[in-house]
Amino acid sequence: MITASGNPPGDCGRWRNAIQQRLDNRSDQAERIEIDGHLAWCSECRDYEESLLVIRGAIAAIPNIPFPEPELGSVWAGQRRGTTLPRRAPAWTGLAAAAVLALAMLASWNASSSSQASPERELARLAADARPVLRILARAFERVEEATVNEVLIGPASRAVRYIPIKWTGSSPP
Amino acid sequence: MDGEQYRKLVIEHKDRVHTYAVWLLQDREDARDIAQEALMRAWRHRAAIHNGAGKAWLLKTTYRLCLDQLRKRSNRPQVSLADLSVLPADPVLGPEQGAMMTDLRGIIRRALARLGPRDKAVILMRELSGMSYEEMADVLDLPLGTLKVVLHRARERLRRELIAAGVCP
Repeated sequence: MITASGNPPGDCGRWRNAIQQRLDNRSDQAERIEIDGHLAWCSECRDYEESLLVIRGAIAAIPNIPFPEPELGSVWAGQRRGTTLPRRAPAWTGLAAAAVLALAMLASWNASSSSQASPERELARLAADARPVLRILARAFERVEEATVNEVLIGPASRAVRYIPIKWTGSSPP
Repeated sequence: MDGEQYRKLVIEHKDRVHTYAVWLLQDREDARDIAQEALMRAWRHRAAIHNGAGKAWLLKTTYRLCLDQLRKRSNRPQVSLADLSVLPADPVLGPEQGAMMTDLRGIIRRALARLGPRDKAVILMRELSGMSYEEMADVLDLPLGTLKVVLHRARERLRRELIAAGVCP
């Protein structure tokens, strides 16, 4: 069976592969001459080669989209510092910091003694216990461009904090 | 790679890396982040980048970061293809030729957008970046023979799209 182009069916498949190879400079001189000989009488393969050239020309003409200057500045800053600043704070950092604070507060309050310590002394003790946690928070926030204390205390993390039971164990209510 | 070589690498390829990411992700904001991350990783991993291999390393890293981003992408709406059509005008062509080229570019962009990430990547690497088969195989972690098949099929898919659009014979 012969197709309209005069080729046996399936033959053009082999030639199309060869045409691609030639387009990508993967053919030697002998192969290129063979392809030219086939293209001289196969209009389907000529159309095929032309379509690949159209694709190549159109894509190659697409200009680069410039990389924005602020981000380039961050790249240079990262090189100088040797670290990477995230462009946006990962969502988990604020929540993780809030969880650390909440757990520390819960542990402090639950572990508070049943002694008759005054409210002032109790508050001073809690503040001392909270200091290490606050230092961790401060270090986390130093690395985060956009997270703020409000993000932690007022944002989504605050909903979780509200459900942590806090029981006053002093002799009188605060 | 020392500091001066790194700066030269960044200046030479930053726009190409960014363009590649924009086309793969179709999201300018994500593309900026990905391009920035790829360029910064090049500094962190500079000891592993040999002379002359910077471009391939950058595109490989960008491709992998884009794939990761595509996998975890949420329901956030993507930038419309109309945004991608706002590209700098070609200063060489006249108004009439420029308008024709813009139409063709629009058709090509829409056709490219319909390809899968891997097909898009091989077409862009070959036609936009002029990478060799070996470089592309390295970027995509494919054997050379498989890469040739992937490229061949990607071209066929793109060609069918363009034939349907009346652009190709």
